[in-house]
Amino acid sequence: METLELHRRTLLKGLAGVACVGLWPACRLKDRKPTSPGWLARLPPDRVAALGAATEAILPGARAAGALLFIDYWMQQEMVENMAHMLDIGAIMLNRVAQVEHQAVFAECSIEQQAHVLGIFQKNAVDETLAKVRRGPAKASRFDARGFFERLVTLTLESYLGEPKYGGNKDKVGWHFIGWKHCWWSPKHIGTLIDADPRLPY
Amino acid sequence: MARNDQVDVVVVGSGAGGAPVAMSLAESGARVVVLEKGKYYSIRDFTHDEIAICRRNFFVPYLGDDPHTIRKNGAIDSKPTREGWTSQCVGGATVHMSGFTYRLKEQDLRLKTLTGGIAGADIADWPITLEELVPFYDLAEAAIGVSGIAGINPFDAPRRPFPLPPMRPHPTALLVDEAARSLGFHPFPTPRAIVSSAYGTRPPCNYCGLCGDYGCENGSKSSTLASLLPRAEATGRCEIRSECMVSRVLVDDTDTAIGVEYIDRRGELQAVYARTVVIAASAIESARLLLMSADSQHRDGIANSSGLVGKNLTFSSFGKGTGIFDRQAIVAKLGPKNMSLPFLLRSVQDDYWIPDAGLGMPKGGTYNFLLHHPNPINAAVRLATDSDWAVFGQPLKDRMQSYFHEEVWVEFEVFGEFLPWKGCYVDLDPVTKDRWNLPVARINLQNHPVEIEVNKWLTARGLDILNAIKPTAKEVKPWTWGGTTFHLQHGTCRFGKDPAHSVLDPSCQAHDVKNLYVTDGSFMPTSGAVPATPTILANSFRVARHIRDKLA
Repeated sequence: METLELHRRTLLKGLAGVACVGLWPACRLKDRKPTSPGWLARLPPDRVAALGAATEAILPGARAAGALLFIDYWMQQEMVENMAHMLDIGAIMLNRVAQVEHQAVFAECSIEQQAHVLGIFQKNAVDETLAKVRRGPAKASRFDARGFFERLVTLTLESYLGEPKYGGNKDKVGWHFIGWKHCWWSPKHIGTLIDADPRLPY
Repeated sequence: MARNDQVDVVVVGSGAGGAPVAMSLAESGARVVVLEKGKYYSIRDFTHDEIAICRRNFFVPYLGDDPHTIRKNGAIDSKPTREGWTSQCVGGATVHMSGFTYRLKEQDLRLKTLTGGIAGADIADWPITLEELVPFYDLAEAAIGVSGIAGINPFDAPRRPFPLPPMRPHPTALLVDEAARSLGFHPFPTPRAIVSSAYGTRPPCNYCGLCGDYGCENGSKSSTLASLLPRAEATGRCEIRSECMVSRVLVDDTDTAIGVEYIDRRGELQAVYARTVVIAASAIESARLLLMSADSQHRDGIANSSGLVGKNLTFSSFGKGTGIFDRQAIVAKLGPKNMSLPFLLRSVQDDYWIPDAGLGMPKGGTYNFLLHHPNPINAAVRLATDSDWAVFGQPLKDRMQSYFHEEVWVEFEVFGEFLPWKGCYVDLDPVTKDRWNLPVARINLQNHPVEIEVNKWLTARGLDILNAIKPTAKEVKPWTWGGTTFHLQHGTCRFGKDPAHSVLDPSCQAHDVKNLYVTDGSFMPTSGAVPATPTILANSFRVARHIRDKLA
């Protein structure tokens, strides 16, 4: 396990250097199969930037904690192909809605503007928003904006509070944030806390 | 296919329905093969990785791999779903259960007689009495290890002491006791299928709190994996074959079960022949197997002359409420001692039988009080969903800060009667296939309106208790009512004396097929208002006694 941790740190350090240009190599951990090329590496940089900014807008600190690495890992697993497609389209739509509402791609919007755009997804109102600039009658797209939003929120929270081996929760920042409550990482220590409580006869 | 694989008993499934039969018969001298669809995990495989264990496919298969399908409220088209699966591994659902270990009551077994029937529902009395089950409850609790206090719940029938003393509760149990008693209720410590002190070779619980949805890496949760199956294997006469998907029950020309076909982990079709075939794959999957075993002589599936295989599917009627309390206020009242303990361990059964409530049936249910599950991701997602996903950004982080540092969430779950009726059944999906190209189980789900009415009433009563807790909660709110707990499932092969109105006889042998038994929750004609796992275990021991005598 220690070997794995060291390997991961080395990997994350290396990745930090390329993250700023939107290149996301596969998250190769010793105990899983090779997954290169990374899913995010196949996306245009503006979409990667949109997803990264969205995770940060959903939970401040998530991007630095490795949310994109986490997403990259899971999008390469066999059973999430539809989810990967949803995220890809979602990134495009984030930029489109941001352009309509704020005349900028999502990653370049202010925090308030990003919250406004995400609110449109949460309300499932993307079609109406895009209809503002579309000629002719509004038509419903097949894109599930609300589903995309819920998925992205869930992935972001998973990345922040899950096992660091999946690429998120860098330096266990999420567990530090919640104060190491409960004991999902080490039940052995809890045993020492249990003393008889005379107020509770049973 | 040569009959070179011949044993006395083949058991399909290794959970609460299968393991007691396997262990009992192996210990009595029979040669037993257990076929389990899932993997053979050891306790070293059970980590606290919330993502892998609870949110991916460690226990429950992915949709694209092995789905169920579901049609809700009379919908025409079915949709793939992960609902209705229990953990896919040796030990079955007992591996990831929470282990709330209540027994049924007399009303559960006599619901039709006591009510005179409920409009629209197809309830039936059980063909056995509670007295017949009690010795096997005792046997099951001793065999697996259950912690609790006998005689403290005034609504329980007299019973033997539990094998183990109760688990230690979180101090907030004091507040629940106080509040419940102030309203005239009689709270009692929730019995748990967890060993509170050393039991045989198993160590006592270390109070990590991750019972439900997890496997126990300590071996303290009383799964069949930790308790019964090692005993079965120790006889040298019980072989557990994991990752084997049973696809057909083999029946000869005399309507006698002679074995099963299965697909092994290499994808090859195999068969094992036996004098007795026991199906215990869960109420949904056992019905599916009987339906999949149709042939030219049994076009509607085997053991199905009544047409009832798959019908009368019941789950547990679910309700839930949450009270959000200020942590400092609780610490100020109770002190900081033991605030890290994970279990609240209080139950209330005053509303189990409620003839004066003016509802559509007099059958109520059980309130199980507990702390919010310690899973952090689950909690954070719940904070998002509670706001209809409208809270995100810094407000979400602030909300997480409050939840993890400033609040204590006391919750209750309602276990209510789930009424069998025409709206809820399982059949074979005509389109969707699993990874073995077998038709998947299609769940047809519609809740009986009386069941919803009663569950709503019970949930409101549970909220009354939360509201009576001092210090007062910051917020008390219902989370849901009239819902469905899918992993508690029963009824699809109900037992009874009349072959026209039941699939199994009182010993859980198929009316139509000799030497074929079903011992998971399928046999239960009514669900009861508690989790059925202890009852399934007890009944499986009862059936094992019957098979043993027959084999002898």
